[in-house]
Amino acid sequence: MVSVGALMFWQVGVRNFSRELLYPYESACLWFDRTVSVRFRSILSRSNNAAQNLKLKREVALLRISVSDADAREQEILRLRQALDFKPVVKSSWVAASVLSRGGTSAVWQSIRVAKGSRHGVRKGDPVVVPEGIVGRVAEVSAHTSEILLITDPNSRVACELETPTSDTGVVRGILYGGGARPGGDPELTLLYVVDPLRLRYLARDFNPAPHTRVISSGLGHTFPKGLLIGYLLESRLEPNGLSREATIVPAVDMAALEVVFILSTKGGARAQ
Amino acid sequence: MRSDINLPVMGVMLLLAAVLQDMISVSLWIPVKLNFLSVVALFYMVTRPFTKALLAAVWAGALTDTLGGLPPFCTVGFLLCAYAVVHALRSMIYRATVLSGVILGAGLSCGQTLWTRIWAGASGSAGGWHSLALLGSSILAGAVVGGVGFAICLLTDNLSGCVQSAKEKNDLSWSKAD
Repeated sequence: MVSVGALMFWQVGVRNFSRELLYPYESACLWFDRTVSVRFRSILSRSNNAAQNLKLKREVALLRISVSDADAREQEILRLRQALDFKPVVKSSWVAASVLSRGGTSAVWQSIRVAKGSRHGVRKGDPVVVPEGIVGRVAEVSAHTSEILLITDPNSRVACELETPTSDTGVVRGILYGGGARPGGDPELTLLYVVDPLRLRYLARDFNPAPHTRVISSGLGHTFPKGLLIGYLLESRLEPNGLSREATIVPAVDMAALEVVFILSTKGGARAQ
Repeated sequence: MRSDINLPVMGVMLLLAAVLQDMISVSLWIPVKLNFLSVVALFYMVTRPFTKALLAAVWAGALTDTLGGLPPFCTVGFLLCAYAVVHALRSMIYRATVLSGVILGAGLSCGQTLWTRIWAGASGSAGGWHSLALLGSSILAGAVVGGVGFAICLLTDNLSGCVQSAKEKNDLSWSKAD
């Protein structure tokens, strides 16, 4: 009991304290980079384009999120009308968060830390996206910061499906495994910037998907809303046991270039459908 | 009476090292984290007495573990072992210099990379080009961080008065010392 309590204290208390301890200094560095250095660069270039571009990029990213959210809701309404099975829609909101650091102090795990926490409505398990696609989910939360586990991490699992060309094919679903792990659960030493292709396992053995097929979230894991882009299929092959098919997936999002992410924050304690 | 400001200076240096190590992300050319925390702890292992050196190792290890998502006492254990090695080599490392920082930093970084990956569960084959690139990069990064870290720590010590210069110890005033 004592050892379990000590471990929980370490996991929750000490780690949250350490993140909160660094938060003011990292925020200050981020503020400096965004305001002072951007303005300095614009002075050097004798124009204000740098600051304007940054502002416009953020606005465009927010608008893209709104549009994709609206599209997803429209599709959901159409499905509900067809099925005549109405469910109450849980209200949700997007929380924009700046990326403070990547990989923490060790770079062992594929994770990022963002400058939004429980005080901003972020909860453990909330999905994280950018306009290009899914980034990951919130693994740990403190008052002002959150740790995001990327989908490229070997510990990440996402329930997804393929965007099949015709309705005759039916829905083809699988489980997405993060890169870096080998069959049999024997991970090799990996480099943070090297993204091993993700593995989509347990696909139907009889369906041979075409390369560049879009892989989207299925919504079955109740973590990510349905229909969000994850990546693109490279190739597929039968698994050694012959019972299912495995595919390699390239993520749609460039994890090394993330600057601002969007966290889906739900209200009322339930996930958005 | 002169107050001992070793602990505040150590605390500030470790905090600064934590911010730098956390915010500087890996890249194509440096695919490992720059281990500023361990290098600062290493400096205090070389220059401070037992209790302060041990405290620096524990603080640095705890910060690395908590901010890096590592299992408890992973880096703390490594730094305590590193202190044992440094203590054994004390006769060779009689003072902290930039050169000793480069050499010790390179060795420390390589050892820490291996220790961390094995402790954290990445127990796959130690061979392969990726693994060799990782270890080689960690040695190079450790050498650079070791030199820079020792230089900054030496400067901080002199500015804060934690270490008296040799000239002062000989009771010579600055104007007369060579």
